[in-house]
Amino acid sequence: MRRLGLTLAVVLVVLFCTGPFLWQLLTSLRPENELTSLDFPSSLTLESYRSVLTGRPFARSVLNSFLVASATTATSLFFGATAAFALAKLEIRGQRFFLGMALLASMFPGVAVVSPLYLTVRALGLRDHLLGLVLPYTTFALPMAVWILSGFFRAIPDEIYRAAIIDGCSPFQAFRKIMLPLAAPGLGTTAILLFISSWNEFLYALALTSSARSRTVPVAIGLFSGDHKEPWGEIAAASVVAMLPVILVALVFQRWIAAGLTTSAGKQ
Amino acid sequence: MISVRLARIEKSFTRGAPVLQDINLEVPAGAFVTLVGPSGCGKSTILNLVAGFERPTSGEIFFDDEIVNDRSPKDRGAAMVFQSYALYPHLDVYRNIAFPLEVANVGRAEIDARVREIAARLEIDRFLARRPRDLSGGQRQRVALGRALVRRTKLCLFDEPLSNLDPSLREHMRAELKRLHEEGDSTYLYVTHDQIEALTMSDQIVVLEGGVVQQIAPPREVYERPANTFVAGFIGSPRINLVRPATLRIPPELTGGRAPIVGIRPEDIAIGGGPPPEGTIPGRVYVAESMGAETLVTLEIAGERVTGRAPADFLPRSGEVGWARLNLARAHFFDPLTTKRIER
Repeated sequence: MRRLGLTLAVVLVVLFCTGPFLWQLLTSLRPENELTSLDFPSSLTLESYRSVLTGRPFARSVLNSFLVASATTATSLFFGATAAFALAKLEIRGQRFFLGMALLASMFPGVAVVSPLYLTVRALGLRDHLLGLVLPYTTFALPMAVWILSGFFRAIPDEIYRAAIIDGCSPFQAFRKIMLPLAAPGLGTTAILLFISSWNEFLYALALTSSARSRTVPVAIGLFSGDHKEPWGEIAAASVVAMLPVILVALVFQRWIAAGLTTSAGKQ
Repeated sequence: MISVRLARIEKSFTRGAPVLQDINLEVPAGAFVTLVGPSGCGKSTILNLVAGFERPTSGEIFFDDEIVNDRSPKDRGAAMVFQSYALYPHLDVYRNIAFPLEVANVGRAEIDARVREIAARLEIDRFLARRPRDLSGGQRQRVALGRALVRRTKLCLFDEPLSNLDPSLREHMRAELKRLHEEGDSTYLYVTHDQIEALTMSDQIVVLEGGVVQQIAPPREVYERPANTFVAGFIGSPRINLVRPATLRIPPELTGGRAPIVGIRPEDIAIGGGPPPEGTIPGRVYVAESMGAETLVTLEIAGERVTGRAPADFLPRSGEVGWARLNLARAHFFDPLTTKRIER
């Protein structure tokens, strides 16, 4: 009886979480004249996908989003990991201050700096340019990366770092050969978080891009709406397509997390 | 081999009392020197100073005749075995042991030969392909030893390396460590809170308490002629009896008329039951503990407890009458004010 209740609860939670996604998927496969119907579709069609991928520069947007998110993630991960390692394991004056600032910066409401950022990016000549997105994204992703990763580096016992130093490593060698592999789960987690937040970002992308050349997925989908009708089928199809790279990235970094769980430095 | 010398070392951290005060000690080249003391006595801090993880507040550290205060741990070239072993969890046993050689850019063939040699010596050659997490505590401890010894450094530092092992394994590794020291030619500086490790393995013992050196001497001397009541109480098991002279009916002419603290070890007190024979001190049995080969009996005499030895078949109940016969020639006297040893 209790098992049955538990199973039911699990099914409900799963439905609650996947429901919107499944609805989206169903909508993307409906024939156009049944888009607003609540019944099951009379037939399934890939027409919406065809029109999104051929009728609009949507593939370009997916590529843009992927490039921007990857570059942001890679840059933030590299500088974030080195900074977090230094803050967690090296003797640095004011570590708490730096970490506090990182936390503050990563929680800063982005909307407050849209206009100054717009002016800065325009002054740099990066408006409507992918780099003009990577730069502001990194300023938000990097503090978050430092904050999350410093926790993971702190969790690695000091004696392991000292052992590496005693064994002849320079601090950077100890970082690269010992600390970084041991922080892999943290890197994986952080990478997924950074990639998703950059992938989903709408506000700056809307403000800082003006053409399909540099438009990212959320903005592209947002601009699907015409004057007279909402292309629900296409929006649904585009959303489904936009989800795929994120799932792919999550699967890739998941392996780091899993690999880390089997080699964790904690209780040996 | 290298000698290590600490001269007038002081260490205090930004907050709080000094951790080390006026530490002067010499570790002769090739010696096995043990720093022993209760937790918080500063022994690990001394090891960290020698390793280079921390800097002294004042004073000099010499390796042979060179001051190494400003040298990084890497450039001091010492090997170290940590209490937690600090193995690299993501590397297998082979790569753990090979790691310091790889960092030093030693050739592949030589690395292989040296790793296999030390692994065979430590009897861990069957586990070379395993990860640390798949090893028992004793095996991990051997891997940690292997990683330190494979480098053939002139100086090896040990930070309580045996304290996480179970007692029988610890006993075995004590003997192994002593052998390894005799076989190799490096200087060992060893930190422990276990006085038995200090007594069994070292050439010299440094007893520390409260950041101050209490005594530096070979194990026999620390045991036979403890410099003060702290050393007397810390070294030796079962613990030395520290009592008033009147309790043991020590004649005043023996103590020069003063009333010092008397220290007498349980092996210098014979205990028996029944009516006290001539020249013994009567008391009541507080507790008797059978040790197998003998019985340790604690008597209550004049309000103080005195532990001595009795034959294995003497197993009195608490409260029974007993007596103690002292070997006063082996008693130690300590000044009650300074707690320092009084020579006689």
